[in-house]
Amino acid sequence: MVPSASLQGRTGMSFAINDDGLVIVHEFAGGLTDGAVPNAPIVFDRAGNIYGTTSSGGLYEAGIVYELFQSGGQWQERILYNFTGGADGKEPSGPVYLDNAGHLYGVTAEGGSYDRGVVYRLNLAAAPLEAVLHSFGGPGDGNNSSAVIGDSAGNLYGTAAGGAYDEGIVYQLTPHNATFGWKENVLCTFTGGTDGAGPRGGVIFDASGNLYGATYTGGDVGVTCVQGCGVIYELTPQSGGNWTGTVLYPVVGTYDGISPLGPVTFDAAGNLYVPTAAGGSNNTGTIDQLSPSNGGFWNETTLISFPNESGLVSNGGLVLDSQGNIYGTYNQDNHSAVYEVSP
Amino acid sequence: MATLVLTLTVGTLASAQGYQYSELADFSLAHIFGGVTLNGAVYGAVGIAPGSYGYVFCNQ
Repeated sequence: MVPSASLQGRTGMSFAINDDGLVIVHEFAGGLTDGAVPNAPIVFDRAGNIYGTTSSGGLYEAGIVYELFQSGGQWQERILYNFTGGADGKEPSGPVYLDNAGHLYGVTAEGGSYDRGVVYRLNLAAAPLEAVLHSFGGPGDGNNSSAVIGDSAGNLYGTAAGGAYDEGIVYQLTPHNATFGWKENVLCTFTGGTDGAGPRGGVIFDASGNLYGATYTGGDVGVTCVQGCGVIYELTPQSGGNWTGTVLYPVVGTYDGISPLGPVTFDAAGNLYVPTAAGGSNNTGTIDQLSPSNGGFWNETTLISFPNESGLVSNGGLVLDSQGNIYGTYNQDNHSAVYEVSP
Repeated sequence: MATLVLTLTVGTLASAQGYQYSELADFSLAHIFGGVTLNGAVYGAVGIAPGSYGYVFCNQ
């Protein structure tokens, strides 16, 4: 049992706290009645409710989608969906995406028509509750997508492993029609050369509708990285539905990090932030900042190198607050941590 | 499939001064998947922990 005490929170709710002084919002029970192993960042809706997934547990032991809401001074859990592990998907992964029309979108690592994972949608207001929008695994298609986001037109975007060169893809799903459902458009197939390989953690939009992401390897091949140290890329929509890809920065791996982890994160000034899995002063990774410059160039600055601790591996997905503080997580052999990097 | 044309736009590289690194929370023998979420506090999920099926936490 994780909670070791309780306290009265500022909102009048009672919380359990653990030995580290953290509030336990919800502890999962596992088994057939609850999820187990929450494996992605949580997401809030405008009302302050929490949405997330667990990769296992649930009625069919194939994972669940859950909601945490406040009631009676406590956080309560509502299981929104139990995956069966079949055509509807198995082992949900990555953060969910909420649109403004009451839909929740997400991806699974397995299940679907080819057992390569699916993109699913939950209608939070009405039945039928779950719809599979796409099953990965067809010719040239990806698999094991890591996350999905949406645009204002209702299209979905994400990254996946696999593809024609088995180096990963960036995909778009568009609402097609009632007969054929959703249509996949592969926006980018990574070849493993200078264009990058192994997109990690999905993509994000800038204010102009361009997509940004990171690949774990590929890019410039040199002494430091035999397979390339990874790239930061941009995809720009063109007329006729085509997209143009640009490598904003091929990671060098000398003073900066090695193997960037997506999704990348923007600040209000348009700078990009990305953690890396290796490189830096201690070869345990870095947090790098990319700043736009004249002529389409981007300047990279390594903000910090992670501590010199054996086995430390950063997770992707940084968040920034309004003061410019950066928050993230890492795992090590025998512990994990939440860190803050302050200017 | 859409056409992909790659253009390299290499910039400069520098090392920053003055950024401070600190750890807000440490979880023994636990594994966190993914990053954290801000909503008045720092929220996250521990996926694997001794004696637990995982939990959602915050530092409020």
